[in-house]
Amino acid sequence: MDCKWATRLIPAYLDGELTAENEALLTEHLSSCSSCRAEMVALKQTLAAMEACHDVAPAFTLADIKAPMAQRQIWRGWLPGFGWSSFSPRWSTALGAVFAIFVGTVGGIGLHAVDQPSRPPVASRAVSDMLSLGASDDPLTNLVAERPSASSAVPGDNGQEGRQ
Amino acid sequence: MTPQSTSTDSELLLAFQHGDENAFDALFGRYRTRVINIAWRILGDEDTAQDVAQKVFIKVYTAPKACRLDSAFSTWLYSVTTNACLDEIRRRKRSRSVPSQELTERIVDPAVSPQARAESEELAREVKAALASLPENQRIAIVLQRYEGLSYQQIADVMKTSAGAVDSLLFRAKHTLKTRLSLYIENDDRSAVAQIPAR
Repeated sequence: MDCKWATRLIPAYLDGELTAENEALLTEHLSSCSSCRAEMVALKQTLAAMEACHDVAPAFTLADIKAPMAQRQIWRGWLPGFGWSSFSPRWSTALGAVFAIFVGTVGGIGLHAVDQPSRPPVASRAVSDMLSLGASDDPLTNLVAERPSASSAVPGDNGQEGRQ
Repeated sequence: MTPQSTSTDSELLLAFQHGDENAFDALFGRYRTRVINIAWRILGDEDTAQDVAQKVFIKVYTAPKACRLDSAFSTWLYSVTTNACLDEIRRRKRSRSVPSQELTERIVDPAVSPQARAESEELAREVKAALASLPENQRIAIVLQRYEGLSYQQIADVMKTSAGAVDSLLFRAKHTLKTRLSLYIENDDRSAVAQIPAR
């Protein structure tokens, strides 16, 4: 093992994270290399100096965590994909807006349908019209009557429409 | 001794997920100091760290089922904390705001001489500045390893990376710290290098 590898392994050695094999190799190298031993001492002292950065005490309590939740209007409900969930006011407002738009849209469609007189669909109207009207009043019959017959075809027209 | 004080984190989490508020209180008591100190060492600003730590516990309180029972509660909590710190760092960069250099109150030991106290405070400031100079990932790794005593694998689980990547982050972080703090380290003790130093 050379000094480059030894230097690379020293931090993990101090953390107790080396494999047994690497630890044995590093120890053997350190026994004969004063510069790597000095490197290890310097790193140990650096890590010890980091203890000067003392802990701070938390300034918040349980009440600070729980009180805001108790005071807010939280929407709780079951949503597909989310299960029982709680939502903050912002999300409650968003969900409420989406729900209101949905209700308004569905309600609007429903009211529109109520306002219009009830009329059957076009296809069934055509059938009922045909049944109630005489042949002369049947628009379909009139269309058939208006279609030119083969005898009345224009000269030069062999009557094979659409064929090229 | 209350039952909560002998319960494991997993037992408390399960109880809280089933609606036991006392279980949350116990978890809060166990971890609030650790969370605030992780945040303060990553962010370097105590006021911001207090806000971030409080938000972390509000998240735990409002979404307890976000922590899966098959993973350690501490791993999840530290992961939430470090992610919240990274979000704050990104927010700062976007707003280009710089945290104020506040002087944190410390408990003063009357037995310590004023000169020693001043040197200690100067070293603390230099350590804090050295930590702040590290890239975020290196800073998170060194804070979790050095101040919270997490193993490389535990840090990897928190940071969602590999133990090898954590080893690399810590190597670079410690090399930088050693260089920055070299002026504050007594390294002329020749006897210390005559033999292999103890860990």
